[in-house]
Amino acid sequence: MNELLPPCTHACPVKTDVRGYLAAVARQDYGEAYRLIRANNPFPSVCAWVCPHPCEDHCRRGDVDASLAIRNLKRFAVEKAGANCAETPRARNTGKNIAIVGSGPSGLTAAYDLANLGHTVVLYERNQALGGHFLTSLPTYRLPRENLQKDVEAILAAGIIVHTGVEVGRNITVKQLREEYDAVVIAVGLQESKELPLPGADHPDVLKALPFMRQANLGENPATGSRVLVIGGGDVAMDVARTALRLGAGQVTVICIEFREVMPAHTSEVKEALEEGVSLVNGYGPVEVVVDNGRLTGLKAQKVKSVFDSSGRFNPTYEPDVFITLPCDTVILAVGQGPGHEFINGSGLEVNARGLVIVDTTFLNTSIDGVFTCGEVLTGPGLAIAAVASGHRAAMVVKQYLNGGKWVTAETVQDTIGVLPSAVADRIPHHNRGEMPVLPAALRVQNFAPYELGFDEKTAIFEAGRCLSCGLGAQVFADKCAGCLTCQRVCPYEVPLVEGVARMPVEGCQACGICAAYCPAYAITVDNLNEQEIKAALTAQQSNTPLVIFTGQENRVDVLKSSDLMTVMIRVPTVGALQLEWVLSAFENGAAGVAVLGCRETSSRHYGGDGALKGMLARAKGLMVAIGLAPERLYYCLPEEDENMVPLLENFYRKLQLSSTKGVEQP
Amino acid sequence: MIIAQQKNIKDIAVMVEACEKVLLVGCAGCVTVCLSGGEKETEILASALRIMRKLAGKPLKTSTYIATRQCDPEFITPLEKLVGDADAVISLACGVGVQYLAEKYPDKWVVPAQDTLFAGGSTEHGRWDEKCGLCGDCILHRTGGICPVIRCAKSILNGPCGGSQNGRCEVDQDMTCAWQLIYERMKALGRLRDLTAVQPLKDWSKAMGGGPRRMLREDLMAK
Repeated sequence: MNELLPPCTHACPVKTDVRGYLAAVARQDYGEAYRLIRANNPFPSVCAWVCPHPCEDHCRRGDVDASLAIRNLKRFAVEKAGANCAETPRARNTGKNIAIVGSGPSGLTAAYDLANLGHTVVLYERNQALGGHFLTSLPTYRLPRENLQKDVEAILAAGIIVHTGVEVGRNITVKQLREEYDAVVIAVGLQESKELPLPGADHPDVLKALPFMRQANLGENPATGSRVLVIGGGDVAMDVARTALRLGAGQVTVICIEFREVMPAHTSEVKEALEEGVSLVNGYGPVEVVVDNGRLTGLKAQKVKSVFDSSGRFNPTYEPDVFITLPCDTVILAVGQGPGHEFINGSGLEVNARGLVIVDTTFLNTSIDGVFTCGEVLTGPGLAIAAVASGHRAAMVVKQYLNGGKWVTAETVQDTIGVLPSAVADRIPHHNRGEMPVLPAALRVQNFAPYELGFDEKTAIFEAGRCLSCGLGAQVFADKCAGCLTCQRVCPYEVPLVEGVARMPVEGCQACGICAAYCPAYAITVDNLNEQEIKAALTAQQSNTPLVIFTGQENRVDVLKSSDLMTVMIRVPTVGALQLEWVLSAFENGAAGVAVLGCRETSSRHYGGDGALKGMLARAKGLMVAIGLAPERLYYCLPEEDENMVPLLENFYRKLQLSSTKGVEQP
Repeated sequence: MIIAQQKNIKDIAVMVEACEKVLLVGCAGCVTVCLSGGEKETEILASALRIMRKLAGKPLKTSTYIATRQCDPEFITPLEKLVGDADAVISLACGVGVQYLAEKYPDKWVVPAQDTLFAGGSTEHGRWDEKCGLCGDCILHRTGGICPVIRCAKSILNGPCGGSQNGRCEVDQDMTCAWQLIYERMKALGRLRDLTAVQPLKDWSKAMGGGPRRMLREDLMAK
């Protein structure tokens, strides 16, 4: 079976329904947004702060103006939803016991899934608290620990038994665990910082990134000199440098082999580090830690000629005889991570040359029957959300194993929607990406407090409304299509193709719903516009004479909650998609009035449809006159930017009540 | 295609004012394409009639059906039960469809919701123009693909007449003179010389006026 996913979901290792939760944010349904975020990811609060968001890198809005600020919206949704999330129902106890080694993202995910499947899960963690790298490696200004705590507590609520302070390979072996449990999952991650074989690198003032961060995060304040030099070009190097600044280092420099434009660190991380006063030296590779009379005094580095070879592999070459020496008191190595080896002790587990556990990559089982692995110790360094995905996979294969077999399920082939055609991109209104407010650099280096302040509600709703709803567009019932060309003629994006019958290329369709509104044969349905729900809402209102409001998705309507108006609110992708039938249905089912809330071009998600809407409203009013309905009962409202719509609607409602007492209608 | 336009709803309502339940039958053919009688318009008309009658204190029940075409008897046969349950049938097809329904269901009051206008096509969204006079004796090969029979107000075959002014017809300044268009097209085709020939007399017996016309394909009818 083939499944076409929007690029954001396709890029996400756990296939989060990004499009779904952004839409929920846009309509202020934060509980639903949270439910969707957590559906495939037991770390919603953590990822809301630290996910490197591959979804954003693939967002097709980037071809229009700028990709959606997805992670920032996730944070907004998670914070708005609070703790209002439904518990995942647990299966009946199976009587099977499973040991999980390690409590990072993959271990906790596997534990959570297996506990929900009804197994008894026992988690072994060498630290005194859970979270793995989330706990020990990420600086708190990027991940406030209460967020980690919140996710961990929700995971443990599935009934997981925890043994902290137990190091597998030292206090107990994998072999012993295997004898005690029906299955074992090793999820120890990559615990060791890589070293560099440089002269002088064994000096005690040459530190390694992970121990440095671990000490800093556990409040042990690692000692550094006033001049710190960090070697490495990734996000960890940025974390180390910025942490060193916050610990009081007077001067922090990052040196890396890569040139600025190809640094592995996220651009924003580099930018923020520079803002905070970190210096950056690109294109130099370390040659020697300079030690003078037993004191570390600097780092000698050689100028890089090229970083990658012709086949794109990391294979730096250097300019001969071009060296610099950077003075410093402390060197911190942030040049990658590898697995520790403690956990292997006494287990008989086979590992490869890189120290990674050898596994059957389909079934994740190691060289010992019933012992599985997941996360970075299996895959090597990667995204935390990829480790979560690996944890899900491990839980699935363990489930199969405990059921007495292993088999490959017929997996759905997942593909993604193609490139947004430039002709369509040119017709989409441009709107700036919502910017995350941050504390000034001078303030944020003073402590480890978080400096990203979060979206306000207005920014979040508007930002979520920028989503292109990729893949939720129009579908054609070919057997009903008359090939009349109406869809092609009304589409603001000129997407429909009519060759015999109409076809809506998914790459281009913007899911505005205008074609469906004007199709004379009801041959078009739009996934982004639930007609059944709309019809149900209209027929359910009955005789309590409410006001039916049709609004484009751009308009904020939460303010109506503070009003006494009895309203039925129906959101459509754009009011250009409004159908005359719905207006009539509202009146037929007892509406006192129908208000249509338009949207100014400055905030409109779609151009076009205005002319068609005006034509439809004119026809509606003419028809209302003919059948004896006062046309004043249909109100088109185009509020000014940021104008409060409540007084406008209340005024309309009062007029309706006056009209009805005067008996305006004459059939 | 046949272009049709819905009647004023008040006129339609009068036709069924004595009825308590009506069946509205749309057509998925020409009137769907010209946006006047497809499924969407059928539902709109049904809803509007119900509201109208509700306001008048005489509620009306409606049912709807969309025929693939109303101009073929096979497509209106499945309506039998729906027709039987209704006091009247409102056809949203062209006049052809109305008659087919009336013939098929001789005991039922069948009324038209549309005025059938002409044979034509769309020129832009929301605009349709008459293009063919259905004269039964096509001469478009002599007039550059532009029909003087229907597009010339006088239907003259050797135009233009003296009423052609600046390319416009004297009957209506908004109407382009068909013979001006014919002249320009023949000129562009390098066939102006063809227009110097006097057009032969046209056999108007093939046009309407001699009673309803019929076309037979005996090869297809052979048993």
